Amino acid sequence: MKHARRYVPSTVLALALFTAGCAGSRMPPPDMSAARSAIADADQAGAGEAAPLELRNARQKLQQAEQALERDDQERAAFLTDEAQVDAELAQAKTRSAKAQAAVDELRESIRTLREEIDRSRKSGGAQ
Amino acid sequence: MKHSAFLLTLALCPLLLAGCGGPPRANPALTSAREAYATASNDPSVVANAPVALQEAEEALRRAMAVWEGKEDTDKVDHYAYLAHQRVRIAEEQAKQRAAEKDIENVRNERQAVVLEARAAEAESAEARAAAERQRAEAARAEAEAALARANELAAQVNDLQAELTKRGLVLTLGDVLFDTGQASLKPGAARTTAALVTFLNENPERNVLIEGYTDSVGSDESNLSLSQRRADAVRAALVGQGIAGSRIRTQGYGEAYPVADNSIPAGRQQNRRVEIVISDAEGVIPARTP
Repeated sequence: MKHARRYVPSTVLALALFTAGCAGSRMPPPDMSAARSAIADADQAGAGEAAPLELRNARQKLQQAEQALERDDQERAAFLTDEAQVDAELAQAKTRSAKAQAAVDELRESIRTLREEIDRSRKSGGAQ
Repeated sequence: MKHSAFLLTLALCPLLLAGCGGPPRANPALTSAREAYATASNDPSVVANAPVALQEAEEALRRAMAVWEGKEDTDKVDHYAYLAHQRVRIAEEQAKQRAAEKDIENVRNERQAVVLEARAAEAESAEARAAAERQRAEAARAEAEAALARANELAAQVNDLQAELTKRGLVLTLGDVLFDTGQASLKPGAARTTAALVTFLNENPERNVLIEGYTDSVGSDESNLSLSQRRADAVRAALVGQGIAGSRIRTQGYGEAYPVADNSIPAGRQQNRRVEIVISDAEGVIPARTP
């Protein structure tokens, strides 16, 4: 018993150091699911056409983040995940604004066509 | 020499100080993110249409600034600057989207107005076309009526003239009773015969006449030719005397050519002694005589 007690403090210390070391060197692993679903949403919205560059960046960065995680480079993985997320959000925003603009353009075009028809019908009506 | 060394030291002092305790070294990514944020936050459309996204961009920029001021690694500063810059872009895109969505409402209303205008114009032009069509139909009907009236009138006049419709058009034949034998001067009664022609020519100013003289086969060709020409000219003179413009009248003597009856019997010779008056068509044209 006396023999064993001699070792208790050092064991506790070692355990504490070990846990502390663990907590210190390892950040919580980055949450990639948000970035992943942001990319999926952007893709779904049509970013492949409206914002292909941003979508590609997001995908590449997410892939690089996974590789960084495999290398145990937590900080790099977290950075890349955040960048992938913001890239995907930009892709979504670009896609939505392009769609809204396309709708405006389409309406304007239809107005232009109508006006041409009006002019034509006025001319053909007024010529006689 | 000593003086300039002193100056150099003086000049280097602020640099040394900056190196020690001044602000951290400029980071290009952060600088451009700050510039982008400054532009966006001065854009009324972004401020009005994407306030939340703009605030998120501002927060991201603050984080990046804090990292930079904390003199962290360039990689880290770059990373946070990148996030901030992308947030600015997101705010700008959102502002564009909202502005376009607001535009859609206005443009839709505008389109509705134009659709109504188009319908009105279509109705208007249909009405104009119908009116024009009615006008054309009316004009055509009036024209047809006028043509019919002219035709009827002409028929009546032709009837008065006792002219004959031939291949050359209307031909009025004046018999030899108008002239004494061998003479080219019209008898006094001839004026009554030509009166109907004068009336006709006055009523149809677009028509011209060709007066052709013919004889029987008695006598020489030359004398017959000359007599037929003189008789045609005498009829012309009578018409001119009654007010018909000389420019509308041509004459031609044919002598004993183109007989219409047998010259061997008196009745046939009497028929051959004649003056034919060919009346032109409405364009004033008289087809040439063919045997």
